[in-house]
Amino acid sequence: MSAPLGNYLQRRKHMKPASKWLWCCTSVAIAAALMVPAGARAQSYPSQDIRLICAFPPGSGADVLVRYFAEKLRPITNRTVIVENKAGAGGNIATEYVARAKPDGYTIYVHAATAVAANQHLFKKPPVDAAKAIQIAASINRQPFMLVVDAKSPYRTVADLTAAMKQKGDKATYATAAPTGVIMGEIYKNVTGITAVEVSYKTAPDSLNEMLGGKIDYGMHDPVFSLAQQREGRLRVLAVSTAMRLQANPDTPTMTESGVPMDLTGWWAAMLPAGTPKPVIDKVNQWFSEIVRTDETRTFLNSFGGDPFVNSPEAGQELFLKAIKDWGDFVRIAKIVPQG
Amino acid sequence: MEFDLFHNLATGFGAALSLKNVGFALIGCLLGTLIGVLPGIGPIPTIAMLLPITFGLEPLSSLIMLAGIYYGAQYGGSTTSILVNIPGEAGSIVTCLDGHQMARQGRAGAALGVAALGSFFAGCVGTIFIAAFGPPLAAIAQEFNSPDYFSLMVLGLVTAVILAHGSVIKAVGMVLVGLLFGLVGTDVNSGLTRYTFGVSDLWDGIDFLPLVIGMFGIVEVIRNLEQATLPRPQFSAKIKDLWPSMKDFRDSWRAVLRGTGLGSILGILPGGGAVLAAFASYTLEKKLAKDPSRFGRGAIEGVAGPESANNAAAQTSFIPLLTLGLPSNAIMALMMGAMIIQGIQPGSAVMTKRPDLFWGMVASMWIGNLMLLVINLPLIGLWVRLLSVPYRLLYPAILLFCVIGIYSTNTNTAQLVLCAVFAVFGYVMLRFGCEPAPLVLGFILGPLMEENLRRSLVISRGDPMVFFERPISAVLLAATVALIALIVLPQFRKTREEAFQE
Amino acid sequence: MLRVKSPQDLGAGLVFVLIGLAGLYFGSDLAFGTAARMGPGYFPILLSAMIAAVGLIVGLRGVTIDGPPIEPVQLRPIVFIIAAILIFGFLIESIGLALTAILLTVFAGYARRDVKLSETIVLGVALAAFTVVVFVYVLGQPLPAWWGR
Repeated sequence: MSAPLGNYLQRRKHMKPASKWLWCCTSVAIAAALMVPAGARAQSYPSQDIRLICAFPPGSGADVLVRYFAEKLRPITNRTVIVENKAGAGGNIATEYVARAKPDGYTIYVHAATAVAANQHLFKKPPVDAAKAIQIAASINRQPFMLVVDAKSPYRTVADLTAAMKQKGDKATYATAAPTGVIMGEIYKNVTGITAVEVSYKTAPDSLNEMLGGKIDYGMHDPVFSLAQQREGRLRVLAVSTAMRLQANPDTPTMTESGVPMDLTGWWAAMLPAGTPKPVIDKVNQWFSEIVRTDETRTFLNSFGGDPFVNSPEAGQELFLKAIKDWGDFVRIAKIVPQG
Repeated sequence: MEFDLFHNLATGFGAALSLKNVGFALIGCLLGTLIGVLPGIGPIPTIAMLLPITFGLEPLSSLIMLAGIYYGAQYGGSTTSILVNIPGEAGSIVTCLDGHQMARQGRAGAALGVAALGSFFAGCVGTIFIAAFGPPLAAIAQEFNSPDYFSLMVLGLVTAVILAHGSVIKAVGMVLVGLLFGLVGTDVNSGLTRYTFGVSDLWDGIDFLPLVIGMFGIVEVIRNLEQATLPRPQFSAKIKDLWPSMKDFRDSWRAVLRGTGLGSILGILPGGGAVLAAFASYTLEKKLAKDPSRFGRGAIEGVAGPESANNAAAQTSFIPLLTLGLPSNAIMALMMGAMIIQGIQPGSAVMTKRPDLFWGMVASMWIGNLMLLVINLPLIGLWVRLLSVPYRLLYPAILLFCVIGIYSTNTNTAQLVLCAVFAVFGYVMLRFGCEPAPLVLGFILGPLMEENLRRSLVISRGDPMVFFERPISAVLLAATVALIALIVLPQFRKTREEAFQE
Repeated sequence: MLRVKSPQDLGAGLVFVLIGLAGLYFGSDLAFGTAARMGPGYFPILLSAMIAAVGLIVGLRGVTIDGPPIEPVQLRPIVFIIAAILIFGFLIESIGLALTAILLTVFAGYARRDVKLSETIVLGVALAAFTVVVFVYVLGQPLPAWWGR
């Protein structure tokens, strides 16, 4: 084995030492690399590395959640689990990527199923028909949006706020930073008849200074931000947008209880491309449900303002289709102009 | 109050100075530097890549390692900026301007040394700021409303014009073009998309990394290849050339002080504050210098100031995160994610409920800075020697790392297409005498400026006086006017002198 | 007839005017709004107009004030470097990092006039090995190392 190699190197003697060294090293590298199996198509699942697709950039709240599940999946599946960030277009880029991926269970999309549903109506030409292209494998959590006010303000209930905003008329201002918040805001205005002006922010934290400075009267924000600020004593959560109270914060009334009927529940799920074989879907469901049922995950999800939410793939898919329908109504109610 | 400060720091150092934690700081710094030094791979991709390594550790150890990775990545990025003229993040762009020129003149060691020492000094000051003034500084940052941010951005944009060492009018043009590019994407205030041509990859706007790497890194490689002979920077193995000289120290210590001050203040402001720090420091040094024409040709103040500003801002940008639980930029968001994964909810609660964690983190920042010095000063010789690798072997490696850096952050072919597009654009504009740096600043600050302008007017119901009624905004606008006067008046004097001569 | 006195200024002015006009054209369907209640088109249109104006001024300088000439363009470096980047971008998902790294190196190599193919291939393989080991195996980045994924 070494003799031909030796001859080869001798023939290369006229090369400069650096190049010869390079040759030697790369020959070894190639040999080693060829011994690594390249994407074997195995019979039993899982036999390859698993990729969790995250539709948000690294370090974001969503990324943290996806990485948590990646960590928990590793010991259960005995495979390498990588998180791949495909941010952009409000999740459409990731959704499209997953829809086009091979339905072999090695590409799992961890995202808010309700956001995927919403995008079907928020864009004039959604890249894929989610109902046909995406299959829910397992649901993960259920979380609300929250109505928040400055902790220094005198409003303790939604009724207090409504009365005060009616007084303020056109001078009332509220903050939103996400489509769900926009819709929550519109429903609130429609039902109560207040005429507050909406101010949009890119992210909820951007609105904090102005909320605390009295320029903004109330905000419709995501639970992570709202709860964190309530913990800090800066903001007060008046109500949640889900129809039922959450175990995560049982003392907070719902908007429905407070006289503004609505059910805006966001729920996260592990999703697969449509056409994935049933045994694979069930396996994924089994893994995620197992992780979600632990106390550790419950605490983790609670800190994000949500409850664990376990469903069979069929039940999950049904909820998903319902969400797609509901969001058509929401977008209409909120008079949101589809992008595109 | 004084006693508390020392007591707290003592607690922190006690926790952070365990052999184990110092070891983690060292490893973090080393890894961060090694990855961050690869061209095109700046702090954000580096931290994102190395984040998983910290997961299995205890909270304090993982945060210490993460801080080491952060500073290592930052300094690695500066090293690349100086040696190969490729910035890994916004702040490094400024370091390229004079740092690389110094490298070409054989003074790479001096540039690297001054950057390291200036950063260390800034880091020490920054740590003290956090320890002593954390909460009050955070309170000031909370006073910033939309009108104040708008005025700050306007001030920042004007500094972009001073930055350029070519024609002023072309710099203005580039800033405006950068502003326009920044508007591509979805408009926050109305939800409509602008200039996306139906391409969904552009909904969220043009990504920063492809633009910067395209216009700076790729263009740099192309231009080097156009030379008759490939670049062979003068490289001297003499130890004294690997280190800043006494003259260098004398020239730069004031820049370090000023940069530290600027960076410490600007770093606290969310959204663009830290980016501004380096640019503002460069502008300040150029304006204060006796001979501004040295800038862009290897003026050491142009490295010392911005590097110190960058590091000071890197430290103080932790303040909103640690005291309020609010990340002020993308890197802080990563840190926050790391903390949440460790089970720490960043916010004021951390200070009271887990003081060992909070003060341990503060102490670890200083240790991270020290590690940076300990690791990198000896490595300066190694980095400079890397320059002696023949360029024909170096540039494909540079290209590959840049491309990998962009792709790992967002696995989307569109990003690389964008990079190529901006490379061509940057190349053409450079041929026409227009520099890319002002465009990048316009690109970063523009959308923030517009967003805050429109939001201010919505909140004030259309009343433009809000920009002058708010004290912070009024002061910033006044400073902008003063700065514009500083730019315009010398031009008038010059044309008047020319007229006189005729 | 106007004499071109500063080709660089003229070129820059032309580009600015083009960008400004493009901005005006593609932004024309956005609502303008008023100064008090700016629509999404307010800034884009204003900026485009300003850019076009700057372009005119710079172009004017191009025909009145003397300036340095434009350095001659060399097609080889830019064409091959851009090609290298695009090849990487379009092929990475299908054939993986190892091969695209080699392809990128080879194409980038041809950006030089005095390129030696054998040397470039060796460099490419070395870089491929290095990046695959460091980025895919050690750092676990979401880059496919090989084909067929």
